[in-house]
Amino acid sequence: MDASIPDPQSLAEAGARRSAALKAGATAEAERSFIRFELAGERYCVPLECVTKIERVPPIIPVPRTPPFVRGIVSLRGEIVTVVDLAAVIGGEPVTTASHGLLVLADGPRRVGILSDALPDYFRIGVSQLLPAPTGKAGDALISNAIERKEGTVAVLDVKKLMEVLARRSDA
Amino acid sequence: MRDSKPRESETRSARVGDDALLQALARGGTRSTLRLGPAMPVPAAPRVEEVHLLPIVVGPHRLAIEVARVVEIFPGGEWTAPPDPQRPVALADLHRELGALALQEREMILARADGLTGRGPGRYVAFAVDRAERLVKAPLENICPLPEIARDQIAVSFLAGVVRFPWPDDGLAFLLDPQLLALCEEDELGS
Repeated sequence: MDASIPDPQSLAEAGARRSAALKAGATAEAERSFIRFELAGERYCVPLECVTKIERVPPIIPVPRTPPFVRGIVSLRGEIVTVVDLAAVIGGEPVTTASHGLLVLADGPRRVGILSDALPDYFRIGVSQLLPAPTGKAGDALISNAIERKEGTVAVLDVKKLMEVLARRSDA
Repeated sequence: MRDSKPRESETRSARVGDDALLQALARGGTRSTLRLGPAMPVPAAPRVEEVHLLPIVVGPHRLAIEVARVVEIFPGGEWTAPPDPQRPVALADLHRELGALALQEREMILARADGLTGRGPGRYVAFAVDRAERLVKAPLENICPLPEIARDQIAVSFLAGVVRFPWPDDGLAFLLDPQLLALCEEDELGS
C-alpha cells in the first residue's frame, strides 16, 4: 500500500471534519440576496424579499394633479401599481432616458414600481459585507447600507422608509 | 300586449287584492297561496357583474364615467340651457381641474350629481370634454380604487378609481365620480 494515500477510515473522518467546518462557517455568516438596479448613473440595490416583480416597462399612464415624482400607473397582469421616479424622490434630476426595467417593491400590502436605467440583476453577499450608509449625499435618509463591489459602491435602499416618504402628502 | 281574456291567477289576485296576495306570497303558506301554488321565492337583487362606461378624453387624460349617470351629451363646449330650479346644474371645468388644455372642438356632458339616474328633479353637473368615445362594457373586477401613492398624492377627489378596459382596448382610464366633481366646484365657488 502506498504510504501517501490515507486509509479509507481516516479519509472518511477527514471528510466529516471538513463538512462540519463548512456547516459551522455557513451558520457563522448569514447571506442576504439583493436586486441591483441603476438610476442616473448611480448603483442601488434592494433586498430580494422586498421585490415582488421585475418587468419590462409597460405603457405608463400619467396621473393628473400629482407631484412630478409620480410617473403614473401601470397594469401588470391586472394589478394596478403606481410608478415613481426614484431619482426625483431622492432629490436628483428626473429620469429622462428610456428605462429598461421596472421593479415592483412591496412593504406589507403597499406596492410601488421604480424604474431602472439598466436591466436589474441579482447578487448575494455575506452580512458582514454590509457597510454603514454613506452620509452627506442627497437622499441618504433612504439608504440603509452600502456594499463595496468590484463595479463600485452599491447603496442599499430602505424600502420601508421609501414607502413612508411616498405616502407623505406633497403639493401637486 | 295583454290578452283580452284575463288569466285565472289575475282574476283571483284581483278578488283578493294585490297587496293581500303579495303579503301572502311573502308569508308563504296561506289558503290563497295554496290555491295559487307554492309561494314564489323572493327574487334576489340583481348582481352587478358588468358596468357600462363612457370613456372620455380630457387633454392627455382618459377618464370613464358610468353610463347610468350620464343624462345627455351635447356638441360644443358651452352650457346654454336655461336654469331650472328643480334641476340645478353645477358647471365644472374639468380641463382646469386636471390641468389640461382644452381643444376648440368639445362636447358637453350632462350627468346626475346626486347618485340618482334619469331626468327627474335633482342635482346635475355639466362639464366639457375633448371627446367622448364609444361605450365600453367592463367587468366589475376591472374597476379598482386608485393604487397607493397615486391615491396619497393626487390633488383632486373626483377620480374615484381606475378602470381596465377589456381587450381589444386593454387601456386604463380614471373613473370619474360626477357627484364629487359637482361638490368640488361648489367648494371652489363657496371659498
